[in-house]
This record gives sequence, structure tokens and C-alpha cells, in this order.
Amino acid sequence: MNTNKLIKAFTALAGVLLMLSSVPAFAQKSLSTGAILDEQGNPVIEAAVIESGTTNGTLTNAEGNFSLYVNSGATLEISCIGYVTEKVKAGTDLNIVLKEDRKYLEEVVVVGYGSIRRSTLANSVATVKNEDLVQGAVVNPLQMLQGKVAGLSVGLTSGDPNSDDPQMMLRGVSTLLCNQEPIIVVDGVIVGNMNNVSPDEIESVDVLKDGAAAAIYGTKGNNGVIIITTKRGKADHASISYHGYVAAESISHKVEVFSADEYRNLYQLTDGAFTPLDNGASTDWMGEVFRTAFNHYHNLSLNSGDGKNSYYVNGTVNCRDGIMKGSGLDKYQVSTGFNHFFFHDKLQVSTNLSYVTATGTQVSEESAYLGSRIANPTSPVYNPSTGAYSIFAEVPNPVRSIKEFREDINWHNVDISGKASYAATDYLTLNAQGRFTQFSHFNGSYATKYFDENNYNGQAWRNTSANKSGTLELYGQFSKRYGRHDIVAVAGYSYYSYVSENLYTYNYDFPTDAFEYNNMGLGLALKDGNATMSTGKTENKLISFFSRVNYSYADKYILALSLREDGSSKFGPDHRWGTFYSISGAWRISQEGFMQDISWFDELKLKLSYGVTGVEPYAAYLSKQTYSYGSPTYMDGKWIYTISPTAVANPDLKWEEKHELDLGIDFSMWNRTLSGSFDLYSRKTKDLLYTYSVPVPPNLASTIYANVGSIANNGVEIQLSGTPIKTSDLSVNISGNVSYNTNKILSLSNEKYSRDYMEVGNTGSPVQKTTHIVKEGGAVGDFYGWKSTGIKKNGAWIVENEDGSSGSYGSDASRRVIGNGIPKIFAGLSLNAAYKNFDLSLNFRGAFCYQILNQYRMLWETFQRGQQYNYPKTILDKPYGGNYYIGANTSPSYVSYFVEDGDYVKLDNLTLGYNFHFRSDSDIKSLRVYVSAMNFFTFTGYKGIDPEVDFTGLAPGIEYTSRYPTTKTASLGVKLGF
Amino acid sequence: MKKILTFLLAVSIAFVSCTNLDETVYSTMTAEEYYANFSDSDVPAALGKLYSDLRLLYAGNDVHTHGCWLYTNEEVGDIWVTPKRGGAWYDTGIYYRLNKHRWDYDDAHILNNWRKAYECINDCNRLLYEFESAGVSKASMTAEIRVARAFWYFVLCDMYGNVPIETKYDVPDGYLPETASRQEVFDFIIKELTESRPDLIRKEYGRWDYYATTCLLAKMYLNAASWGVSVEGNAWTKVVEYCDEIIESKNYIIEPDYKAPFVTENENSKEIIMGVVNDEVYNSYDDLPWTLHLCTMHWKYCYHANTVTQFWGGCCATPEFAYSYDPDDLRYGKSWFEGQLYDNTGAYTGVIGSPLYCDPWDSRDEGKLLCHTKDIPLFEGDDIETTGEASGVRMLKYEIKEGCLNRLSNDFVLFRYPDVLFMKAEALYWNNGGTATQEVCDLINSVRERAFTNFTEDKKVHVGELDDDRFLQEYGWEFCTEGWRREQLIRFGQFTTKTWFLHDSPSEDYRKLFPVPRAELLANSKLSQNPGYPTPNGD
Repeated sequence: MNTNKLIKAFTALAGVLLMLSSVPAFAQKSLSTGAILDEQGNPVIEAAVIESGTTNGTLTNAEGNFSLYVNSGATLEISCIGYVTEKVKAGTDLNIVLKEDRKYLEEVVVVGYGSIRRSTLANSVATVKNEDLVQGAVVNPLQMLQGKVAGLSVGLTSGDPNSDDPQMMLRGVSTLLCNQEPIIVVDGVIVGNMNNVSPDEIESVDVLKDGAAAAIYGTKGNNGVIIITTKRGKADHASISYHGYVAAESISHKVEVFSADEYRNLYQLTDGAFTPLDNGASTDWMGEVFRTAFNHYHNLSLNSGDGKNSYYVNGTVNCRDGIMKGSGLDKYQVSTGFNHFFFHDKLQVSTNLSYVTATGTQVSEESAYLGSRIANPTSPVYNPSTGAYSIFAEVPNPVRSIKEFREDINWHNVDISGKASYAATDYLTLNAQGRFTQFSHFNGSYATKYFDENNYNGQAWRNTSANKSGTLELYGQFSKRYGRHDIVAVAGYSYYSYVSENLYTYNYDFPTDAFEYNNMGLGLALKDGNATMSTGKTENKLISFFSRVNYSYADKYILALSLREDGSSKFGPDHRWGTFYSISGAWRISQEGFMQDISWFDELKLKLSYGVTGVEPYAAYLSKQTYSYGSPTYMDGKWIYTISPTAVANPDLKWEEKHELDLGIDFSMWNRTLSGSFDLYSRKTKDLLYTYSVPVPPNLASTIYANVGSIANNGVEIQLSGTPIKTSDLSVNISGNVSYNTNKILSLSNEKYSRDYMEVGNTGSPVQKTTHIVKEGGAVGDFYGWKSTGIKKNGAWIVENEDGSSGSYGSDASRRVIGNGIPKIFAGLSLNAAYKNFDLSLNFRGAFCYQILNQYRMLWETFQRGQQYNYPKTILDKPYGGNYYIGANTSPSYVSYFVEDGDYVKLDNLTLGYNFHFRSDSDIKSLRVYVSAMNFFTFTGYKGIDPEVDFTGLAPGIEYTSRYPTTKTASLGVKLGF
Repeated sequence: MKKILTFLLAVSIAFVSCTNLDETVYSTMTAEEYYANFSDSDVPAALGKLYSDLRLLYAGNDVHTHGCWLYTNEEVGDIWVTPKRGGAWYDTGIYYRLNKHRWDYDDAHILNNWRKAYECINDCNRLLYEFESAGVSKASMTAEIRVARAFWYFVLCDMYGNVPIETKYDVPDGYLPETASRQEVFDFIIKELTESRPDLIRKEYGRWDYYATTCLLAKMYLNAASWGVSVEGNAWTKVVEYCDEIIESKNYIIEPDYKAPFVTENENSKEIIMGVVNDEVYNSYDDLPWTLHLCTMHWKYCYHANTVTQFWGGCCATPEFAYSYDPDDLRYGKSWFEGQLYDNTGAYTGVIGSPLYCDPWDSRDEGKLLCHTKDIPLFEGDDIETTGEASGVRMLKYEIKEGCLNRLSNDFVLFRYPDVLFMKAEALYWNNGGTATQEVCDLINSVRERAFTNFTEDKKVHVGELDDDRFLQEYGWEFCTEGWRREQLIRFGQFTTKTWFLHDSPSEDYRKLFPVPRAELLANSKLSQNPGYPTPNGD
């Protein structure tokens, strides 16, 4: 329903903008001839020579010459993409020099180890400029991409300030492994996260979508590549700018439960189906747990430079309280660096040093939120006679979860990178770049003596880790034009190593709560032998050789080839090296002679590409047989550790490969009033890496990590952007995108290992069943449960079998696919308008055709749970319009009644700004004040907190009871430039 | 240009030295390192795996796969039941499928018993290979490993009957073992045990010593008839011979207190012939915890008995069995927990000694006292049989000590002396055509005696009373919760014919064996399914 509406909206938009223009008449008189040259004296091939005010025109030949019959006294307009258009009087033997269009040349696309002009790009790469990114109080820079790129879904599924990394998915799930997210490249270097980049530092974002574009990154690029270009080190004058906002956050949507008064009336409300247990008090548990949280953000940046040599310092402070009392995170980030030219500008050296540190707190959030929904609203927080916390079965008192447990979070990330580029000749640049990063954390947690019913008498945890990674890359770039032949090539070497170390300690039974986790040794559990300590260290390496050639002929026909060899230490010695390649071609139809008459087409390009990327396993050492000590036993009069093989090694383990075919069209019309792209893709993953059953014997254990099976993803992406109104006072820009993806599991078997299906996910207690099935012929994300059509008088669900016959709940024969947790359609619509000093931006985003398992409703929407609990108000709905409530006889069940449609449209961001203007001699250069709302409104039929749930992994689409609710945010900000 | 050359040279050097993908393994050991340095001092740690593996019989922290052998063999019988309690403990019917003999070849218990047994067999094959390769083999060690392996084949022979026999560790690539008949498996086990027995350590607690092996041999021959395998000579006579050897060794006693072999510190009990060591400190919760107490006790038992841990409260005794005890039989109170739970710590109610009430898990239990009863009343009108959280008496045979953690320290009792006396009695009983003799009754009475404060004549079992049903009851009263119930029911021909509590109709005869799990059939095309059960391809 929602899906159709949105599709219609997009169709209408495209229709309006795709109005045809008329083709004017034609005339001729005298011959004008000449040659068109560039500033270096080289001929400009296929430049358009047009008689002004007419459609009469021609193209220059391979020597840059032209001849054209024109009216006497006519003016010639000479244009060519990449050059500034010239107007000259018509004549003979003209020598016209075209200047390079700097503005045009700047429109380059970063494609990994270099950039190329968008016109010579043969791949599907989406670029989002700074001004088009999502504004407002974003908690993570990646959030600025939400809804902006067709096929890239970015979603924030938690409101926890301590887990603000959004989930991302590009073109569906193509691997069974946990890592399904695109990698992030910041200023040319692969990074693990966005910790070290402040939202204010981002200049633009390029997203490499197709497999051919990503193939230059080999295994790292398997799930797509997000390339962030920052503003660092590019200043051509000195400036100081400040951006700050204050924001208020609240729960995005409150799931309605009964208030104390409503609860007392439940006997009447349910016609006697439920008798409430009135404990006398009136407690608003949600109010006890949640609050309106405030946060503030400040960014100060200093830039100085002359366009070449430059330096910068950027500092950001972000203090964010969580909407759950007791949670919050304060983050401080600073980055600094310089960019300098030496040896007659031949050597360019740039560095960046960035440091971020964060301190946060977490409470026992999962139980507190569930508790706030299911604790009896007539129960007091504290037992009035003892003053102790009221105790509930199954779930802790939510106030206790907040007050008696706290985790202090401390982490920091250091990131140092440097790059040296040497322009050996006009056409050859040699580069060396390196990066070192270290993420460290040191957390401490303490649960007091009053935390729960277990008699642990105070529990403390302390854990720390350090993950170091280093990258060294050496590569050369070649760029030269030979007449009509334009070649851009890159080749290089990359070395990546990763070392991870950790320490974990746990102790309990403390004499006092006073020291919390700061005196770990004091717990008696250590003396009793029940404390825990563990340490570990692992490492892995990835070495790669890569190359790419982009060739274009006459700026019309484009061919690109790339090749990458990745060697991973995670595979067996014979299978370490994987070869990943791509071939791409494009035809710029708009450059053809026959298109010159259709002047309203700025650009029309047909692209076709094929690319192969790979996946390495998540864990190291899988191909190696290792032995480890474990499971102590009593031998020869003493306790000893036993030693045995860790898991079944698979020396045949090899790269999982993804093959992707992409067919696309890029177009731009009416001087870029409307532009867009259209892509069709087909991805097929072979040799899927996963855990498979093997016979024991002869194998050591019953599962092995192996390459079996394949998955296909096919889809369509449409991206449109238009500027329907552009006057000096008013400009309006609308851009929208929609993507559709289908996923199919083609096979889970090969000649050696076979598996007809696997069940994954967990409903949780007391239902205790897997939630999803991964099966040949099915799709990743298929919910596998029982299809309900009604409820009987005795409380049993009426279950329908696949063939329509009546089935029974719990029986395997009646179990079937009852939905899918991954949206098939994602869409985004942005509107940016500026009127005089005002600017307005609106961002809508939606996802369609998927289902959500509402775990809270499944487990708690039945009065069988008893009188000491509160319930969702949806419990007053008699299922399927029948005659019976989900009453005392109905156990929590995994039936389709709780698998809801998730379709939604969100008004994701609404920002209204006012720009003050200043005289040119003013010290203040710019001032903007804005108000902004994030996650402002959601149109959905879904009954949970937020239909935007986790869609990654093999059990996507479950809204867990433990979810930290998402938030909506209102902010007031100011941007000031000096 | 020179600079370029220098640069290219540097790059080439980098290429050569920087394509080294070797990685260091820090907190584990590679097989190469392990083998290269293997010496006599590594033997205990390697051999110890035989015994930590035995904990797979009864321990674990996943409610569907832990302690497979114990849980499966008890849940399918007439003593244990895990009823659906409110909305909990249904788990889409797994416990009912076991109890009502409706299991299918996808069920977790069916898969895990098979897998765990073969993983342990592989460990044995591996150790034989490793000790041989390292040149540290000794006759006693080889014998011990072969017996450990034979024990797991005994488990497989008992539960699945027809299974592959694999004795090698280094098999060629692509090799798949084939199903062997139950007779072949039986003969293999007998051969392994009899050949190894003379070389074994004579007696050492918790090890496959001479007497534990003798006990296993007696068990093999005791079951032979019910397994339908043929034996050279008279199997019953062999049972008696092996049992006599143990009896005459005078190494073991019947403890005066029935509880003694099951207390927290039970490793010194002279009744235990084969125990599997557990320790709450050495065996942490993430390392195969022994969690029977968690499975059976209500969570509020933590206030009643002042334990550190809380409980899950699922399985209990069937009403028929709970009622079957002689009122004077002390074993009932020492095996089961019946009655009201109290807040003995005062932590829940604030008043020490207050009675505890149901949570309730089901609204129909609202306001009821939390009192465990022999009866398991079912709520009316539910599609699936459902009871309350308090019904059923709970397993307390293994002591739950004060301050208990979420894993027990009590060693698991695999073989104990009264079992030897019962085996001998049963062999004599069958050898006499299924009729008791005075010798049979004397053997059983010798075990019964401690169960009564005054072991008067009316408490003894007499020749006229001891029929199949009574024999099975005697087994139940003495050996409940020890994992042997299925085997006992099968030997007395009642496994598929008897009905009890929710198991209200007889089951198919083929259910005396479990099916080969579907996952294993898919993984190995050379396996054949047991009669009566489906195959993945439907043929």
C-alpha cells in the first residue's frame, strides 16, 4: 500500500521533469573553418561548434578541425565538456583556444587510489556533496547519508549514546558472514569506523556501489565502499569557523501500556478475561526509566593556507545524555595536520593526526526497558514496609536496574596517517601512504549488593583491550592523453596487519559497595576460586597488489579494467591468494553526432560492468589446526587442564567470491536541471563461507567452516535529482531515490558438504524456538514459524498449513515461512529550498515490503503471564477480529500474529535555517542559525517502538524486548565563520 | 629518473619481503608446535580429555543440548517429566515429544547424543594416534583409551544400535565410514573391553580402571538379549561372573546412607565404581556446567535454601512414580523435594520464614502457595497439556548445597556398587526364566536395607512379590535420575508398551532405537537409517 504510493510519487516526479523540448528549424549560408586547440596546443576532438541562436552545428575531427556553413555575421559557440565555452565571430582558418573549465575538472569522482572525471566513469558511483548531506543533530557522520544513495540503507536502530554506529547495507545480503557492511575510506585510507571524523569535517561522500568499482578494494570492498573526502588541508585562506547546537532527545515512540488506573479497570475492559492484582500504588514505570535528554555539540575549526600549503586544527566536543536515566556519552575529538609542497611543487606531503576520547555510562538498560513495560503499574518502586526494592519475577525492578548497576565506559582512538606524493613527470605520480590506528578501551562495571536476587554480594567487572592496525600502501598513478586516447592508470601494493589484545576480569562477594570496581582484588570469590580472568591475543594480515586502467576514446567510449590480488593469512597456505578483477565499459551517447541535435541532453551515458570481489572469514586461524587447553579434570591426584584440538581446521578454506553485473544509465538534462541514474544489477556469491555439518567420524567435530553454496541478489536502483526552480531569490532542489532488491539462496550444498537448510535466530524464553530459516530457494531473512488465522475459545491459535489445511502450533509439519525481515524496497526523498536568507531542507525515507517480529508482543501479549505484570494495550484487540482475547490459556507463541508489516515512511529530518549577510570587510564572514528535527515523524502501521530494526545478519527484522529505544531529536544550532 | 628507479627498487624489495602471510598464534598452539614438543609430561593433559569428555553425558549450559545422555534417557521414561508450565517449558514440544515417544530425527537431543559420542570417539582415536606417533604409548594408556572409546560405542549401541565403527584418526581425504550392524558394534565393544582389561590400572577413582571396565562388561551382557544380539555362551552367566569379580574384590561397599554417593563432596564414597569429577571452581559455568539443579528447582528455591544461583524450574517426577514409594522408604525424601518453599533468608519478603507464593507463571496460579506436590494437575481447556509452576516433586538426589552456584560440585555417578548387585540379581532372574529366587531377593534386599529405619520383614521383597513390574520399581526407587531408566524399561520389555502420566498410549516397537539424525544422514551418504524412521530423501 505504502509502497505503491511512493512508487507513484516518484513516477510523477520523473514524468513532470521529463517534458520533451521542441527541435527548432535549420538553415545555411557561407563556410566557416578553423581548428580548436587546448591551452597546451593539443587539438580538441569532438568539440561542438554551433552557430549561435540556431541548432546548426558540427563536431571537430581528430585534428581538432571543423567546417560549417553559417549565416553571414554569425557567431560561433564552441563547447566541449571540460572546457569553458567560447564565442567567436565566424570566419575561415580560425585558431581557437579553449580554456580548461576548472569548475568542470573539479567534478571528479573518488574511486579508490585516485579519482577520475565523472564523465569517464564507467561504474555506478554515487556522490553526495556536503550541502546535500543530512543536516541536524546527527550522532554519527554516516547518519548524514541516510536516504541519500539508492541501494545504500543506513539506519540507526538504537538510541543508546554508547552504540551510535548505524547499520548499513548495500544491495542486499550477499554473504552469510557477520560482516555485511560497506567499508569506509577516509581521504584515501581504509578505516574501521568514523570515530575520528567529525561531521563538520566532511566535504563529500562517494559510494562505490557495483562490484566492478569496488573490485579495486578486493575483499575489503565486497559489501561496497563509502569514500569520505574531508575538508582537511585544502584551505586557500585563513578562517575560523564554529558550529554548535543544543538538542533535546526523547523516545521516538512510546509503546502504550496500561496506566495504574487503566490497569485497575482491566476486569471491565476485558469483560472479565483478566482480573488485575492491585498492589495499591500508582507507578509510572516508563517515567521512572526515561527522561528528555539534552545534548550539546561544538565544533571549532581553524584552517589556513594558500591553496597549496595549508594546515588545520579541528576540535569537536559532543556531550550526549541518553533518554534512559543514567546513560550517556561525552566525546572529545581533535584532528590536526598539514599539507605541504616541496621541490618546485613536485613533492606533496600531508599528514593527519587525530585523537578521540570518550567517557560514557551505561545502566542495565535491557532489563530496565522491558521492566518499564511489564512491571505492574500498581506496584510501588520500593516495598513500603521494608524500604527495599519491590521484587518481580522474570524481570528486575526497572528502577533497580538503573540505580544498582553501572558500566563506566572509557575508550580512545588514535589515528595517524601520512602521505607523500611525488610528481615524477607530468603524467606519473608516485605515492606512499601509511596509517596507524589504535583503539583502546578500559571499562569498569559494578552491580551492587542490591542489584538482583542472586546472592553475589556485589559484582565487579574490569576489561580492557587494544586493537592496533597498520596499513602501508605504495602506488603509482599515470594519467596521459594521446590525442583522442585518454589513459588513467594506477598500480600498487598494500599491506595491512591487525593485532588485537584483551584482558577481562570478574570478581564478586565484596565487603562493601563503596569501592565499586576500583578494588577488584577485594572480592572473596577470588579467594574461593570463583573469580574470572582471561587474556587473549590474535593477529592477521592482508597483503594486496592492485591495478586499474581507465581508457577513454574521444571521451565517448570508455573501458576500465582492474585487477587485485589479495593474500590473507586466514586461509590455508595453498588458498591464500584470491584474484579479483573487473571490467567496465561505458558509452557516452550524448557525445555522439546524432545526439547533438538534442541539445537538452547534457549527458547520457550507458554503463556496463562486471566485477568480482571476495570475502575472507571473520576469525583468524580457521585453516590451521590448533590445540588449546581447557576443561580441567582430576588426574593422578590433582586438577589439570586438558588439551585438545580447538576446532576442525579446514586447510581447503578459500575465498568466497561475489560476481556482480551492473547495467546503468546516467543522464543529465537541461543544464543539469534534471539528472539521475538508473542501475540494474545482478550479484551472485559463490563458495559461501559458513559452518557446515560434517560426519563425525572421520572429522574431529561435527561442524566445519567451509565454502559451500551460493546466493543471488538482483535489483534496480533509480536516483533522480532536479532543480525545478532556480531564481535569484528562490531555488528548489528535489532529489529522490528508490531501490528494489530480491534475495535468493541458490544452494547450500556442494559435492563434499551438504545442508538443506539451517535454522537461526531465537525467539527467547519461554517460546524457545529458532526464528529464521536459511533454505535453498528461500531468501535470507525468512521468518519460519506458524501462520495464525485466529484464536479458539480455549486459547489455542488456529494455525494454517502451507496448503491451506488446518495445522497445529508447535508441529514441524505446520511450520512455514511467515514473512521476511529485510526490506525489499528502500526509498529516500530530499527537498532543499532556499528563499532569500532562508533555507529549508526536508528528508523523507522509507522502507517497504518486509516484516518485523515484535518480540515484546509475542512474549507479553497474553494474559497468561499473570496478574503481577503490565501488558501492551494491543492486548485489548481480539486477534483477527474474532471473539476471544489472548487470555489466560494462551501461551506466548511464535505465530504470524506477532509478525507485523514494517513498511514505513519517515520524515527523517526537517531543518529550517536563516543566513545573515555581512559586508565584505566585516570580520564575521557568515552566520547561520537553524532549527532542526531528526527522526521527526514516522508513518507506519507497525505497533512497536520503531519499524527501523536491525536488518543485518541472518536473523534480521526482530525488534527485541531488550532494544534501547530510538529517539527523536529537536535541535537549535548556529554556524559562525570568521 | 634516478629517483624513480630508487623508488621502484624500494618497491620491489618491499614486494619480496612484504608478501609473507605467516601469522603468529598467541593463546593457542598450532598442531605442529604441539606435536613437535610432545613428551611424557604432556600425557596427563592429553589423556585427561577422556574424562572431561565424560561430562558431556550430563553437563552443559544449553537447555536443549546439555547433558544429552542423562536427560534423553530419563525424559523418555516413566520417572521424569518436563510438563509445560504456564507459557514456559514447552519449547515447541521437545520435552513432550521425548516423553510421549514422538521424537523425530531433527530433534536436538537425537542429534547431540550422536555427535557428542562420536566427538569423544574421535578424541580417543586421536590420542591413540598421537601417543603412538610421539612414541609415548604404554600398554596401560592404550588400554585405558580403548575402554573409553568402547564406552562411547556402548552408548551408541544402546541408543542407535546400528552405527559406524571408526577406529582411525588419520583417514584419507573423502573417506566416509559406513553403518555397521548392532551385532558388529556389540562384538567390537566386547573385544575392545576384554582385550584391554588386563592392562588397565587396577583401581583409581574417576578412571577407566579394571573394575569400572568389568562393570561395563557386565552391563553389555545384561543388555545383549534386549538389544537382539547373539552372544557366545550364556550372557546371564557372564554377567554374574563379572559382577562376582567386583563383589569379591571387596573394594566397594553399600554406603550406610543412601545419600552418601550423591552429596557435594561425594568423591570419597566407597560405593562409586565410576564417577565423573565435577567442581564448581575448576569447571566454570561456561565449561560444561552440571546444571540438573537449575533445571528442576523453582527459582525461589534460592530463598528457601540460601543459594547464590537462581533456578529454571522445569523437570520433576511423574505422579505415578512419586506415589509408588513405600511411605517408610527413606529414599523418597533423599531423592525428591516435596512441599512448601519458604523465604528462609528473608530477602524476598523481608520476613524470615514466610511462605513463598507462585509468581505466577500462569494467571491461573495466582495467589497459590509455592508448594511442590506429587500431583501434577493440568489446567482445564488448554490445547496443550499445561500445569502450574509448583506441581511435581523436584530432583534432589544430588545434594544442592547451601550457597550453591549455577553448577554442581557433586561428581556424577556413572557406576556404583548397588548397580552391580542389581545386575547380578537381574541376570539370575532372567536365567531362571524371569522368576525370582531367594538369592535374587537377597541381593535386592541387601540394597533395600538402608532405605528403611527398621528393615522389618514386611519391608523386604519376597520371592512371590518380585515380578517384572516390581523389579522395575526396585530399579526406579534405587537408581532414579542416574540415566539408566530407558535401558531398564527396554530390558523388561515395557519401554514401548507401558503407559504413564502424559504418555497415555504405547509407542511403536521401533522406538526402542533412536533414529540416525537427519543432519548426519545428509553429511554422510554411507549411513543407513534405523527401521521405522524417515530419511531425508524419503526413500
